Amino acid sequence: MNKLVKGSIAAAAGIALLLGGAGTFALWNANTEVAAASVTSGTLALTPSGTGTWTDITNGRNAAISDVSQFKIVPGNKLRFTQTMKIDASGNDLVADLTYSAASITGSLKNVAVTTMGVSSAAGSSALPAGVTADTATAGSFVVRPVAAGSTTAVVTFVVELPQATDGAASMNGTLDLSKLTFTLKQRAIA
Amino acid sequence: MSRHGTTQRRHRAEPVRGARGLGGLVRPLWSATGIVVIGLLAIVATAGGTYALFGTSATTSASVVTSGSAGVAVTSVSALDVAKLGPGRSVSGTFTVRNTGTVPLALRLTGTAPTSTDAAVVGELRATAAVLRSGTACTITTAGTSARASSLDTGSSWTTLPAGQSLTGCLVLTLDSDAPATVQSKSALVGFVLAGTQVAP
Repeated sequence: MNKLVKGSIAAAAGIALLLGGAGTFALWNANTEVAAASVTSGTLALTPSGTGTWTDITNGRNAAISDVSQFKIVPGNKLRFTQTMKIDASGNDLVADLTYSAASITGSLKNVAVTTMGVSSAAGSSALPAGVTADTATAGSFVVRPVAAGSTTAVVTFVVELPQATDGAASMNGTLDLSKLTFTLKQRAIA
Repeated sequence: MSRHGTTQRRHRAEPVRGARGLGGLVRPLWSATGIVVIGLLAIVATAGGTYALFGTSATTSASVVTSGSAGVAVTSVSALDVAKLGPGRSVSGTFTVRNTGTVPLALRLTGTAPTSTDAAVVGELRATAAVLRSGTACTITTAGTSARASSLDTGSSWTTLPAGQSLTGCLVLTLDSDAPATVQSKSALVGFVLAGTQVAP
């Protein structure tokens, strides 16, 4: 084998070695740990407390309904469902919308009955819970912001009304299925 | 090229002839790496929940609300013996009304406009409608809401019938005492409508 070939082989071998030696051509680097402390995330939770109750509030009444499945609603009736809930909300920039899912309501009376959601700090009170304000842009919706305690108790009401002018053919022997009525709490994107 | 010189150039991390060839090989590795990193970021950005805002929901068992119904049925209409009708004479008959719905109904009885062929006859008839109380009979002297048969209107407060209940109504027809002879042996269709309206809760 001549020198030229030997030199080529040696160079190739050298190149192969260099390629195999990963750190041989690495640029300088240095690293060190910085104690920047830990970051924790906030919370957002909505939890029912106890069993909800029904009340007949037609024309100013305040009559408890023991079994709403036995109550036959007619045009002019107004019934109220009341459910206490715990709202957990924490986060420096947390703003969330409290509302209900219209899709969770089914039945032939869905497009006939008028439904309204309300929130208060206690049953029978008109005051809003701590951290909760009415949404001025969307009627019947509420805005939740964190409070110092991290959680607040809200009495959520859901009123069902069959307007007096309701057409009989469309509303007789109908149903409004609220067995899966769902309330939602969704964070708003940080502005 | 000496072996010593090659070593020196390697320490200075300057590309030498051989290394230049390697440098050509190193650059695509960076580029490739960069692309991979970007790709990973892109995948993460589109992977749904990683960047979702906080959200929660609570389902309550608020039960099913059902609506009632309103219905009225008129049955057992007794035949009026109109053959006995003469000027100043009356005939009476009864009918049964049943509330077949689930709500109390306010009942109203109204007369219907006669057809042109019998308007003259109906125009000589007077009708009296009354709700029979228990133990009373329907006779030609029974008092009640009275008017020309075709324009009879008891008003919406005539009576209220609870759900599932029935009542007996009395109808008296009287031919005017001054009815002309031209209405003799004439027939006319005398119609009435009974309407039930839900009593507001």
